[in-house]
Amino acid sequence: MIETQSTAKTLEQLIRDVGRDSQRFATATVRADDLPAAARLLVREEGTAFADLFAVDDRDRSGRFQIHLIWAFDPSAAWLDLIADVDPTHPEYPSLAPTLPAVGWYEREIRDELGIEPRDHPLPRRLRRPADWPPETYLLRRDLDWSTTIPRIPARAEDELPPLAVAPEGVVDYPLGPVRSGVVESGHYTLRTVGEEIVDCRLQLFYKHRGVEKRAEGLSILHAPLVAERISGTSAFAHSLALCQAIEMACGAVVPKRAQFLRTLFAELERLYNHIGYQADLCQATGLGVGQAQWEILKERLLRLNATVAGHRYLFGLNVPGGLSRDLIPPVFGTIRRALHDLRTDLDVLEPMLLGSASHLDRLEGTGILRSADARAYGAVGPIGRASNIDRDLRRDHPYAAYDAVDFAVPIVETGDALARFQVRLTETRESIRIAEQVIDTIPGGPIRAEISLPAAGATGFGWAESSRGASLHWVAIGPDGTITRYRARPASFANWQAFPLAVPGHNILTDFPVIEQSFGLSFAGADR
Amino acid sequence: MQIAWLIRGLRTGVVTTRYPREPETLPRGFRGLPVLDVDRCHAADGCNDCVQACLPRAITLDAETRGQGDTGRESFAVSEEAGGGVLLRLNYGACIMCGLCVAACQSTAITMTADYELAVRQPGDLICAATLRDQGAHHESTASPEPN
Repeated sequence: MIETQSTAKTLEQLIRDVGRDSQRFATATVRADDLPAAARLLVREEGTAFADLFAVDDRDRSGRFQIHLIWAFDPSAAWLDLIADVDPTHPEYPSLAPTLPAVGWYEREIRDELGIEPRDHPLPRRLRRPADWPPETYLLRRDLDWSTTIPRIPARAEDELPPLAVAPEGVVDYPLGPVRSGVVESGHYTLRTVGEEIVDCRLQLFYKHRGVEKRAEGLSILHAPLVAERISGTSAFAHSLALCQAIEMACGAVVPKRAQFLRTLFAELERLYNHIGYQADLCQATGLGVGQAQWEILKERLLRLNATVAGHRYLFGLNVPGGLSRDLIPPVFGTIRRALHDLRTDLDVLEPMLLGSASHLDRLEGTGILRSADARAYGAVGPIGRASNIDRDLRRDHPYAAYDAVDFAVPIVETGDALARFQVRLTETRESIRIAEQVIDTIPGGPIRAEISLPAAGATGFGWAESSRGASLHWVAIGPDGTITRYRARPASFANWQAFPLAVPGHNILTDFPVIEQSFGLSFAGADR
Repeated sequence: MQIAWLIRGLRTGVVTTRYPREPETLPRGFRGLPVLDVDRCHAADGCNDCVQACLPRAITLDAETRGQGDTGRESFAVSEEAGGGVLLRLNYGACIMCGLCVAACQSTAITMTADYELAVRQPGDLICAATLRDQGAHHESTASPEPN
């Protein structure tokens, strides 16, 4: 079937119906069997990138499952959502992974959570479904209530990743995690080493699955941001922002200008404390104790600033559908401005010190190289992608909130090593300060929240935000009573974790591993939801 | 460059605060412990706006019938009031400090305070319960959220 369709020369020939056709987010229907051909055509388009692949249980409305393939068109700042129906009696579709390696995890997730089989998937094993759940338990099918108690069974070997080949003599498999020292999140690595050198890295994540998307089902749109904030505490604002934007698209709400500017300001305050904290973590990995303490001091100051201006150190509870829950008064802007000024002064001192510390830079340079081709193939986003020469930033390419009203540079580095990731975040810190200052200078007056009118049943919306870790993409469907019927969140870390194991083998020694891990700065909970 | 870090570190000095020996005050707008002003609350008149707004069901409202708690939290039950009225419970163990109840309350009976010291020794101490009666009310608060 795929072969008969692959002769299509343009995407238009595959599209059977055009749905929503707004300038920023268009939907179109294709046959499930045409999805690989569509992906092949899209991959060839310049300036476009794979964004998300997920499935929706639409049986109560259309009697079908739906596969959504979302694609970003950067030059026109638009998104295309290709929707394919899947027959629930034969829930399968041809896998896109042979064309598009990035969808490998996404398809396994669909298989786990909706039971839709990707035909010819290279690795059809469980990804996120807990190992001791019965095989036919599909979390995101609508007929499974979120509060259902799932019976437990012994884990089945056939659903696990095939074990590594037995190591020959002299090759040592070094297990690391899932419980590690400090406050590091749970993740399990198997590092295969020959002497000091790491030759293979096996990753087992998803120990922190909380079923966030399932939890949002049936919630009112007012409550949904509370769930989004808990995907990953350090990206709480970006997640709730992207979700609120998705809800606002579904409801056709227009957010007041002042709220747009405030959202931009808070988003940058979130990026700042994350990027500063990142430098502290990296100093810890390279053994630069005083450096770590210095960056931690700056981070704590920013968190206290957040508590002062937003009532919460991690900026929870600010985004609401239609705008923001609290306004800032002029003296608070003065407080932020002073804090940003102090931060810049400290950066002027600390940055040259870091860049002059050979013990720090030596550990970063040439370590954990993520080649640009790999980063592209596996859809790396955010600072990780930009450090591997992927010139994308949603704030610039798909402006949301007030990002079209501020001027900022997007740093791109080609080398893809830990040093590149360090440099990108260092530069972005400076740019964040600039953005925040511009927002304070130009913020208009007016209301901060628009009334939301409930949309027609079946309305859907898509929202996006560039979190400190990269693109955070959220999609919602709203039911007849104004509650969420399907919530899809694609945090940046989910995309980046897939690329991470590619950066570990090859000229890296075992003691480089903590540096590589910190240089990615990924969130375990964020990837897991 | 190691010397530069050393000098910077020494110049910075001690930045940790003396908490808990000295109190660490948080800004006024901080969303810490929510408190209920029972004199303003209209729960006895049928208002349940805060209950509707509470996602984790930290606020519950029952017709006061002794022995009946909200499902799943019986082990937490602390209230032993007698008489009619409604029993309003605020479970700090479930509260996520989102502040939606404050926004929902039309009689401004709930406020978020900057108090962040929520640790208690007994789970039951996390529940604050108040019996609210109709006009001429006898409000009784039975459990204090205050630690110690």
